[in-house]
Amino acid sequence: MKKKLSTGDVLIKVLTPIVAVGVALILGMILIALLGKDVGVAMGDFFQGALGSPIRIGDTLSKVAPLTFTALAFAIALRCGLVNIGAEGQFYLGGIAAGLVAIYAPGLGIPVIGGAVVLLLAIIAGFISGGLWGLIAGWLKVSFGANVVITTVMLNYIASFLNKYLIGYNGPFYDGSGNPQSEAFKVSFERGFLINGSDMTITIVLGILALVFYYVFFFKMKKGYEMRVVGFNSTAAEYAGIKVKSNALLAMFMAGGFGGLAGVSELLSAQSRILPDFSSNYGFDGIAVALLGQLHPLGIGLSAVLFAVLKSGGLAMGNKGTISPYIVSAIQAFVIILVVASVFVQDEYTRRKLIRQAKTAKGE
Amino acid sequence: MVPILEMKNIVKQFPGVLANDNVNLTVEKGSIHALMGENGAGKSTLMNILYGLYSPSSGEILFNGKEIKITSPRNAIEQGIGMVHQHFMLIPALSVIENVVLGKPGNKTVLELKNDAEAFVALGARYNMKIDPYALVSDLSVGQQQRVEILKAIYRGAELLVLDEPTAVLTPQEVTELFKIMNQLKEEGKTIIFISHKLNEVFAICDTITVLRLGRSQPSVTAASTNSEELAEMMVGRKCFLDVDKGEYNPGETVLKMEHVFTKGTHEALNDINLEIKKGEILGLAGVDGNGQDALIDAISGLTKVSSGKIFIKGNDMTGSSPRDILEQKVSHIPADRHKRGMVSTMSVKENMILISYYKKPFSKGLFLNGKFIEENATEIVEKFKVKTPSIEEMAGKLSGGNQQKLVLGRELSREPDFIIAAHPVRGLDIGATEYVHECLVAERDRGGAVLLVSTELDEVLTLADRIAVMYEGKIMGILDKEDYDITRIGMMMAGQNQ
Ligand SMILES: Nc1ncnc2c1ncn2[C@@H]1O[C@H](COP(=O)(O)OP(=O)(O)O)[C@@H](O)[C@H]1O
Ligand SMILES: [Mg+2]
Repeated sequence: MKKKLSTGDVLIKVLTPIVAVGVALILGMILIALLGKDVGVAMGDFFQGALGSPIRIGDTLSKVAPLTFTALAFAIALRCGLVNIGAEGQFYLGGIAAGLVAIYAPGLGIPVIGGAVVLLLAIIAGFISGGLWGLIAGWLKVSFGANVVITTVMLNYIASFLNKYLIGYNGPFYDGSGNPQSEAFKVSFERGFLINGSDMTITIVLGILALVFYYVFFFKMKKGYEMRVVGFNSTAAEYAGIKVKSNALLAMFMAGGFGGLAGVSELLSAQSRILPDFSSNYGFDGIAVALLGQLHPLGIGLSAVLFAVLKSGGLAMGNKGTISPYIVSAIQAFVIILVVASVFVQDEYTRRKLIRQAKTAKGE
Repeated sequence: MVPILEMKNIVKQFPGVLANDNVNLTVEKGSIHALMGENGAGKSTLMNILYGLYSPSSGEILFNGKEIKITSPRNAIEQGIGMVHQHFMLIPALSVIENVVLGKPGNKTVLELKNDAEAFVALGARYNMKIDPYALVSDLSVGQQQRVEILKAIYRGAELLVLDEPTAVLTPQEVTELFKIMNQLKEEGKTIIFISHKLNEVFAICDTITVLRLGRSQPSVTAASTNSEELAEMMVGRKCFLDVDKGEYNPGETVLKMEHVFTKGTHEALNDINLEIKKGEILGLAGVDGNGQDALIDAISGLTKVSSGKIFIKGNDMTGSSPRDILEQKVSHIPADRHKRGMVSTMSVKENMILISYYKKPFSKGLFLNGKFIEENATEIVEKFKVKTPSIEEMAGKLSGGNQQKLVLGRELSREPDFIIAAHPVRGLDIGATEYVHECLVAERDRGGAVLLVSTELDEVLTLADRIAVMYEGKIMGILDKEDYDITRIGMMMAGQNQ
């Protein structure tokens, strides 16, 4: 007995996100045209910048890992029924921890075998500190019933300001250069992975592994099953003897951990030291990536690639100076709005279908 | 005099549920009219239609003799119909007065609250209510919030006020307060529809009573001309159940024992429960809904803590144990609300089949689920319990109600339980499915299981149970052996009288 998905179901699942992105691009072009700019030139810059050469493609793909990780930070929590808007803050915490390891660990006599041990430590430190940051929101939720949306947004601000303090003029990790920044990393991921000369690093492999883990955890493992039951129906979970609170805590730790890994992969791949605002919105883009990918591992992977293209194409458009980078942000906002809207379109489709089924069932 | 309200032949079809089936309701001006019925009888749906939240599939509404269309709650209020919902609809983050003027026609761009606040406080004073119009709703107690909602409806000019199960959330003192307000409103000529399933409340305050049962209205009666038993029977009904072949009654050792069990809570709290159920017997727990049956089940299954007393299962003291430890005693629980508790409707049939046992061998190995066994298990239960589903991968929520119940039943009975809690196991099922469920429960009893059958259908209990306990207001009014079964007596006990 295998599941029969009707063609309508499949079509609507695949088509809505594609239509959403297409419409967003068209709206973006209309916006550019309204500003009196040449749409053809702008779009040329966009695609040239994102996909114009193998190196450009590699640079674009280098954004896939952090986007995948922040998307997982949102998706994991949501599977347990929690809306984690805090990937941005978790990104900072993970980045800070990994950055500090990359700066200071080599000086502590830790064997630097091609930097691998230090990088491994950085990954672990990033996961744990991002995870603990997520856990704060989880703890506030289970102890006081505090709304996770609100606490994670608050924690985003705290994380961003904490970072500014740490590397600021009075902060413990200020490098004394006159600019608010840390010392340079002594170890980082090697660029040019797969595509010589590009910004790609091995973190993209980590991102893929994370997606595999996400799939296995939620669909093959006991704990993941338990978490999904809690997410779908917490009263049924209680009835079945499942501990709702400890699952919420674990989910927020894992979600935060992946948010932290996003920071690790961005910081130790694309940057050379800790700077004040090092996230460029990855935490929030991750939400859109997860929703566009419908929380499905494959979907998340593909929409991470799509968002990477949007991000680097947009950047290229902005860099050329033909249009303001804010327009690019506006286009991304269109995508997010339409993605969210497309979720409703699908719900409405399913609802109507159920009503139709109920009616025909009665008619029989 | 023309009745203030006539609802004629109201039908409301939800996907898969006929919530109102040709309902007729006539309410006289200046009266307090009770709308009674079990959970799910369709009371809230009918009132939501009146308040413009749902549009009826068919039927007509006459208000003061004129046919009206109600398009929205705002429109309902404009026509003089107000409603206080079962679940409050105030916005906690706003102040009292902001809630009151919310959606009021004629609000300016910048809110002018002062005049409204003064008028609202004055209105409150008329009903002996002290109100701080600038207090946040989230700082008010439940009873206060309810009074604000009532006052808000009056303030907006409601002539007809619907109160949907207002007493369910109140302490006895607050109920007395509420009744005072209701009586004063009546004296002022307002009309009230009061929803409740508590007999004593209805007799304390109402003039006329209409009972809904399974979406259908029973003929209205006046409070003066009826009595508790008649109402209890109207609500609970006399559905016809086919006889089920049962083996001889041969009770064995005690499986469940409750000693002086109390729970906390303002309503439905358990009050000194003593109960024993033995191997090979079905104990039927009868009573009108909301008299502590849910609290009893929750206490046994560990979902709420008892405040005093002891619960033993197979001789082990399980008082205060976790739900999982209790399930581990080979206890199966077929919950009253399968959507809320019994299953996860957005998961597949197969995944629902492992809800209770997923963590144990052979359903899982180490950290991982055992996919192959899970599929075999689901296929086997689906076949054995005749669950009609296109596949074990189908979402449980898409099955019909009867098949969902068979899913839950199959999962619970295939665990070979020693003790089965079956709460309203045939609610909403058709005859075929009902009969099947009953056969299964009897088979469990004949196999040597102990069964607690909670039901509001008197005939179901009479047909299946070896002994009957009747609950009323958190107490057990009495336990009858088979030879003492007597419908009048049980009806009296359900209404709170024991000779
Ligand atoms: N919005 C809805 N969609 C589908 N079914 C509903 C909806 N509202 C109520 N029902 C169903 O209609 C029936 C009557 O419900 P309700 O009017 O709330 O009963 P009551 O208030 O008497 O307890 C129930 O079976 C309930 O599950
Ligand atoms: Mg109701």
